[in-house]
Amino acid sequence: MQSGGSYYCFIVVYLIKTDRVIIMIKINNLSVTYHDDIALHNINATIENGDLVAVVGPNGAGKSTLLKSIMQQLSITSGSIDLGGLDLKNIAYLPQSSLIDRTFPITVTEFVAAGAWQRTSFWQVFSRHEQALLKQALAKVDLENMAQRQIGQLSGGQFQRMLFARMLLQDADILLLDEPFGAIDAQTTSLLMTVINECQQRGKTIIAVVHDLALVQRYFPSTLLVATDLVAVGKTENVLTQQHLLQAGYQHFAHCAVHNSFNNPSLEIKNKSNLKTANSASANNESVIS
Amino acid sequence: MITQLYELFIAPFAEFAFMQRALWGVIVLSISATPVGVFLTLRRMSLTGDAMAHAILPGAAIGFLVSGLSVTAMTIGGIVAGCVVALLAGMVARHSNAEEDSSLAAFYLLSLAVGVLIISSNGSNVDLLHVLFGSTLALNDDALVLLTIIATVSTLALAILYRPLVMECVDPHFFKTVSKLSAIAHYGFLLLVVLNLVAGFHALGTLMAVGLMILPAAIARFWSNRLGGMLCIAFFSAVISGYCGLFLSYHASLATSPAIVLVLGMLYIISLIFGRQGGLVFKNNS
Repeated sequence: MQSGGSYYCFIVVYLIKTDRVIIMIKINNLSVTYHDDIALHNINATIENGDLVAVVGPNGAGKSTLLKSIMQQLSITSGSIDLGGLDLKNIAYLPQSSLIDRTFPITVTEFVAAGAWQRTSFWQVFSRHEQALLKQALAKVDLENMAQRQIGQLSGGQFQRMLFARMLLQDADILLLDEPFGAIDAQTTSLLMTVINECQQRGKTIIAVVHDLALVQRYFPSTLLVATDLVAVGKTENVLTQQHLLQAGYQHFAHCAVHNSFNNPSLEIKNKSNLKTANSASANNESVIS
Repeated sequence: MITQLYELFIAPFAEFAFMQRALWGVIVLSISATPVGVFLTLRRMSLTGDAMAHAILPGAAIGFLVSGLSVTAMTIGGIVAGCVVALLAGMVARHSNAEEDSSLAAFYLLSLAVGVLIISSNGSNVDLLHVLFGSTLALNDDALVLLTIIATVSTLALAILYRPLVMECVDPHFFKTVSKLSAIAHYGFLLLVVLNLVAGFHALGTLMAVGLMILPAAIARFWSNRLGGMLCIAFFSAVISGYCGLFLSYHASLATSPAIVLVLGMLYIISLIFGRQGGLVFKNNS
């Protein structure tokens, strides 16, 4: 943590900001039970429009269950999820494991084109505009030179990038990503993180299940910490505290949290930039007051 | 020389109306059944196709019991029975994983037993042979018209279903989140399988009809890794085998539908060895 003063300003800005945010997803007393196992218990959270939220928790904490409940892919035991009038078609969902048939003879371009389904449906010709969007999506994930490859020829990282390209073409308002960085290298992770950041800048709301706490600290402004029950939700630095992590059952990481670094040197840069934003924010703040 | 070649290859089809009908039947079936077969094998549902082929038998047998060797009655019976098993098989495929193949095997053994029982207790062995193995050379006008109508409907329906079906094959999870057509694509496709098997059984018999569906698709997989390419290769291998099968059957007095399926089988073995996509010879290179 930085000095108390800047930290305090940060909270003030946050409160002012919440005045005009639009709430995108409101989770009310959500509980999900599989047979007799409680997967989620009394979760309450609101996710704002344009937020980038990491869902964090130990194995079996109900992270995937939370995303699936938002997607209405399982029956909620009690409580509700309010999507603010949005329909499921406004959500792009990248599940943790999918039934994709990687041996099916289809090219990367054709696969990604499926993202435009809601605009082209099963009969419309792919317009020039759509083709341009498709090329753009492939370029963003650095797959242009793979466009004509068969999907079965892609490596794990390339495949994940292709899934991201399809999601970009979907152009949904909310992105739900279930462990998008599961089995991919650091370089691909940073490329995909850039893509996610761009999406956020374009006003998308993004919720991602992430295991790597260093990554969460570095890139995700908000965090939802869950361990069947909701442990904490809000600004990442307020959520990933030693107390909260211990409460969620992270013995090892909680110890690291004291030093607030998770052995990641890049984190210091993040703190500096926090300081900057906090400073500039306090300047803004003053101007608001005056 | 040319006259000899003509005598050998063309004359049987030019001179005999039954050969022309048989060839027409096989070509029409190739147009509609092979693309369905390609999708079946791509979805790893070859066994489902087989189960449905067997399921058609009791339906056709009941149609036969009710109104004799009537093409329409047997067709309707076959479609109804096929749809019942298609629904059961479809539900099994969508909702369970572990025991899919054993429940399909159970379905078709049961259907086959019921069918054979009905026919053998009420008809003659000739009838049984006719339904099981078809009589390509005895295709009459009614059967041909019906076959052509079914093939046309099936081909058009497949063209409309094409995109949803590809989506459903490649990533069913994703397709379900973006569209409500997922179930329609799945069950519509199974209905097409049934239609083509019913059309096929008039020409080739219930047991051999599935051969004209699955084998060309299996052959095509060895030669192309593009869906379009596979559809073309499957169609041409079916037509060529149809012609060769009729040719063999005419000159060597062999039963027609097994002859066609045997030619397909030989093409399959050749593809298995020499195919460019994963054939035994090229396997080390690719």
